[in-house]
Amino acid sequence: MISELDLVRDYMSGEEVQADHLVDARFKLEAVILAEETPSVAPDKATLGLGLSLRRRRLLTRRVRLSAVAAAALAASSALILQLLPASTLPVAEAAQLRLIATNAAKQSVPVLGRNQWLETKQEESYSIDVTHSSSGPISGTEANVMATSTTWSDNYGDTCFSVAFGTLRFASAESAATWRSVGLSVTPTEQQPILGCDGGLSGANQSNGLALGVGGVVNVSKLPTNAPILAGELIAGTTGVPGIDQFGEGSKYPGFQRIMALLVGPVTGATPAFNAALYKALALFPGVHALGETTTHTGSIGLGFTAVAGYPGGSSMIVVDPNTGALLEAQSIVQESTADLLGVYFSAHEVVTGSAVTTRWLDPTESSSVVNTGSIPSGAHASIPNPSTAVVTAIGKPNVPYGRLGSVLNSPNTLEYLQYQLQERFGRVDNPYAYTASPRGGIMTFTFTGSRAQLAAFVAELRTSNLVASVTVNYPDK
Amino acid sequence: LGTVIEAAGNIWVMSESAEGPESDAKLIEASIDTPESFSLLFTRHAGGLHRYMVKRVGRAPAEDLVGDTFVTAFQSRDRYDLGIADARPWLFGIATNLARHYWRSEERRFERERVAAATVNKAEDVSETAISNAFFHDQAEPIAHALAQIDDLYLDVLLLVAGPGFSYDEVALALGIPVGTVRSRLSRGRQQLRELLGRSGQYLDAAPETERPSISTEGSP
Repeated sequence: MISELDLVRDYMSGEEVQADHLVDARFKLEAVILAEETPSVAPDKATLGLGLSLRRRRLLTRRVRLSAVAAAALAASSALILQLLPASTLPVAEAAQLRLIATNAAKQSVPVLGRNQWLETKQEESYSIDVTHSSSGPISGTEANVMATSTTWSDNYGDTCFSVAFGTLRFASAESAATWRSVGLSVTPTEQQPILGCDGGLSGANQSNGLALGVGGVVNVSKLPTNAPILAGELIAGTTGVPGIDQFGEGSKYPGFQRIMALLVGPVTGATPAFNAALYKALALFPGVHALGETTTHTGSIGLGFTAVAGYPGGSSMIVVDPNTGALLEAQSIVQESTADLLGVYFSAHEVVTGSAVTTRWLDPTESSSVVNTGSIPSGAHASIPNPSTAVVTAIGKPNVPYGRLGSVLNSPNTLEYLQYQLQERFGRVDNPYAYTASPRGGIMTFTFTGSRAQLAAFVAELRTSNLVASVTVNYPDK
Repeated sequence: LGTVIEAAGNIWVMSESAEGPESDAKLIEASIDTPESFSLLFTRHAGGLHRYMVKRVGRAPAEDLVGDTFVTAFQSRDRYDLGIADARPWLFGIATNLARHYWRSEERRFERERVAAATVNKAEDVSETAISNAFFHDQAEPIAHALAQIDDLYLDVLLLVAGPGFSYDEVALALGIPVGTVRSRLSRGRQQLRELLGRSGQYLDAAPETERPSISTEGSP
């Protein structure tokens, strides 16, 4: 038996579209949330260089929806387009795209590395190389492109191993190839492929190495702020305190964009969902960023594109992001000086290159980062992990800090015993984790630590930041 | 830190937002200080609102109006009665008003186009109701043809009871009218429907509705 109300219910029923698919409606809401949030949390817009877009509410409903073809054309002619666009922050509705991406990024889980675990990252890259100086003097007309496939493994202590395979160089013209050869350079990689290696101590927290994208060092971001305006300010000014980030993109017109791009490319450890979300919220506050709408990557993925003028000869840089997860789909036009040497070495028969400019034309992560054990690293790379050494670390507790309470380390935070427990849990490289000598001036803990220099540095840093010890001394019994 | 989940030897930290549900009212209260809390209301209710709007205004403008619904709600959230845990009546009430506003705009647009085209047909009814009714009449379902002829006062009540499945109290909250008015409008609306369906030979059963205890049949024949 059917009533008239049943018929109305039938009419009103129908498939419910998932909220995640109502992107345009979501943009509208995120735009007003962004507009309300920004003035209250931004500390000092003048300092950040923001002439922020709140005056542009008339653009609230403006949407950038480009077809893949139009986006590709726009990317190709971005230098021209960017001359036409005002050099200010994103209009609210476009910033809302980043706000939405941030919201979705905050929902994603992030890998956490344990002992003997590594973050594995796989990428495809296309580099543009221009050798400017050889051992016989300045040269020109050597522009070449080369593809590379790389896998990087990074641990929590700043160690990074890599496996990278370069393809054959491709030249814009026969003349370029001839010039390249004329100075003694090879058109095929001179090293056996894949090239395997490891670097220790590239931890951004305490080393001065630059961030070598794709084939370089890991940056630990656990100390970076998750408050977007503060993060934006530090990234723009290069004051994060992490040298690998702060030195990246120097000389660029908008170095903040370069640094965000570098952090998205990674490898990065210590990130949380809140940090990943803050990156995109920070990007929404940057000057010089423009939304490109739907954009197709070189590997055929479709996402939302954002661009900024690099200020380098390479023109504008671009990222393409999956709006549903915040995952980077592609980065374009990254200038990397650290990779220049690498390419010079691998394509020169006699190390004839003394000056070159290398740009990552594009870089696509090919898989999500995953957590693997040491055994997953190829033996060739594994063999070159820096030899561990043994150090004796002596730490003296502050006078008022007790060793333990109630006989249970699990119930006694702010004790030296609990600190030992935490260190053993995190590092596990200590022969005598609970060695302790009572002293009226403060309890003495002695650790025999075996590991790389970077791991030791991280161990000592953990001790110092506990606020429970008055001093830390490191001795190497073998030296 | 968020929840830590251990699976297949790897540990992943889930974000805070994945944790247990809070009432709509608590989210709205939280959004006064942390505006982004309001986003979760969208995740919860945008799908249902979209389905409702598709049936009221059609697929093309529905998503835009769902966005407007949340923008309006966000901008007036400081006036929300935090004693009401479920925000759906509030949101559907805003959506219903926007649907009415949409048809008024369509009527003005239609009138402008008609004048511009100088093809005035004086006999043609271009009222908001007529345009809205034309929308219902264009649907395939015979019930929609009957809805096209229902008085506006009754239509909102009928659609809020039949669509999101609201009780009398919830419809009263959504439309800002007394519960007694909801009861009488539903009753008269159903009566009109029965007559229209009977007239068109589509109505299959004249028995009064009894399966919904919260809905009174007072006033039904």
